[in-house]
Amino acid sequence: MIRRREFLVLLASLTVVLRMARASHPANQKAANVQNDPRLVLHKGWVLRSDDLRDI
Amino acid sequence: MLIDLNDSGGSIFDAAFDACISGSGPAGIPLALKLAERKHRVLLLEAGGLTFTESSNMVYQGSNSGLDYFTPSACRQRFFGGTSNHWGGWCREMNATDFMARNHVAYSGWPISKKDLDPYFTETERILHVHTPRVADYLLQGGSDPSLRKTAFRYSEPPARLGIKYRKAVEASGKLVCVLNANLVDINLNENLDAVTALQISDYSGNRFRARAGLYILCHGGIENPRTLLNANRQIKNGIGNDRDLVGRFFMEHPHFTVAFGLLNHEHPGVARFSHAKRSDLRVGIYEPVEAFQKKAEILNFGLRFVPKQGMGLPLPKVTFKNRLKRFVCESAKLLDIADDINQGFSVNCPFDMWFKTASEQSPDPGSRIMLGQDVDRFGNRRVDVNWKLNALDKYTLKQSALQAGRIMAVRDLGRVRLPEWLHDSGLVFPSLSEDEVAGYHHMGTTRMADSPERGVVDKNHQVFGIDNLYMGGSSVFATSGHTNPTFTIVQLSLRLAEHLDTRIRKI
Repeated sequence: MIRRREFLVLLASLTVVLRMARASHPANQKAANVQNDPRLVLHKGWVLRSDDLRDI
Repeated sequence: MLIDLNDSGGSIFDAAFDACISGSGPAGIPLALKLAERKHRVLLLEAGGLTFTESSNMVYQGSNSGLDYFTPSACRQRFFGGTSNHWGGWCREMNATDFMARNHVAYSGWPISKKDLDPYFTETERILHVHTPRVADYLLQGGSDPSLRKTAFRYSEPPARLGIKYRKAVEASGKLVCVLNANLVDINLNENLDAVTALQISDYSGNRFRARAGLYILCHGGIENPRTLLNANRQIKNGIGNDRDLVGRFFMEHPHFTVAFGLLNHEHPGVARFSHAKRSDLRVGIYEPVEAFQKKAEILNFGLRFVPKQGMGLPLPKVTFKNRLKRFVCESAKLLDIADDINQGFSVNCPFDMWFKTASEQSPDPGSRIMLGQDVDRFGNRRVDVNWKLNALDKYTLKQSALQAGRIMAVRDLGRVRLPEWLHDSGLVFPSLSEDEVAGYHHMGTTRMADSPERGVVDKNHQVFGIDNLYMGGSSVFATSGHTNPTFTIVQLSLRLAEHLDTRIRKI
């Protein structure tokens, strides 16, 4: 039977692995790779990127 | 020694003192203890007792004739320890440029510089018991920006209540006598009207006494210091130190407004890592404009506060950021009522992930002022009327702080922010107290420090122009305010003032 201490170590390791997997996901990589100088617009009080308007 | 005027009678006023300090708050107590430490005989007057009493605080009642502002009796504490009794503990020294004259800020510039206060930094830290917390860099994520930089407040935790902290030191001092329940009700001048001869003191039964010393220092705070001078009009019609009608003018606060609401992009790794933070880790991150940007944009200084919603990101939104943004942008008008919850301080139903609050410098404006009202207090002195005004530069600065926050959030794809309606309004419209925090109980500038009597009330050593032995302590001498909470600077100034008075007393 697994001991409490071993369980906690296993849980911590699993958390680290999951976080690394999440960060390396293509969607997150794309989000991090923002444009350096996108054109910004004020729309309905929001400070948006111009490409936001395509989706809205 | 600590005595109560209600119990002891006025025999203490027969004694001779080198200095008489009125007011035992963050300005008065450090000043009194430092002078006593230098072996000078010090009389410290406190209008209240050791704890809050209605009879004392009622003297602070007054009116507001300007912008929506706190009731004058609610934003100050009139007992031993003064306003340190409700201080939030935020500590930070002012920036070097806060002391400098700026072309785009009228009446800016102190007659002293940050370097004049630097020698008192360490002792102020000790007095206020300052701690340095770790605060996450939510907005810049460790990177740089041409407009904003991360800064940090430190905290007195729990906030140092100076009356409690230094009560034993005051009681044990052989050189310092603190008299409780001693209300300063008038100031007597000599025949030439250029020196104080005595302070008139009253207890709560109406018995009057005269306190005499070589030097007199008023440490009543930014509202009461000018009120005391204006009410001392028996010998000089316009009040003491008010030859040029400057006493009470230039009243400054730190405007505290929510300038933007934000949606976070939880798909961004830089945001996602905060999603797992514990509530207690989500401290306020603070950003200020770099000097070059202040100059280029012609704005004031400000502290932009990134305030994460408690429990931010737990659970994470199940829809994509773009879908969530679309819903918010399209439905934002309908969400205004819910957003009101934020202003009330409740975040339970708040649909946004975070908001930006700005605590800004206020531009020195002679039209923003402390005046005397028509009603009188129990001692016959006219009550205060607070005529607080913000001008176009103040509002422009608040808006710029929001736009810069929005720019960084969007450019870095950390999220998007929405500015509130009042910030788009070109008029001098500001949220009321029922809608926002508005201000910070920071009362500054009303007996401002200047290099000439044409520009201020006191000189670089806090001496009232034209009155040889009268000094003002505390934030009323601030020429400009920066964006920093004033208590740390108040204590630094008091320690510097103590040095000056020490030298002067030794020469007498």
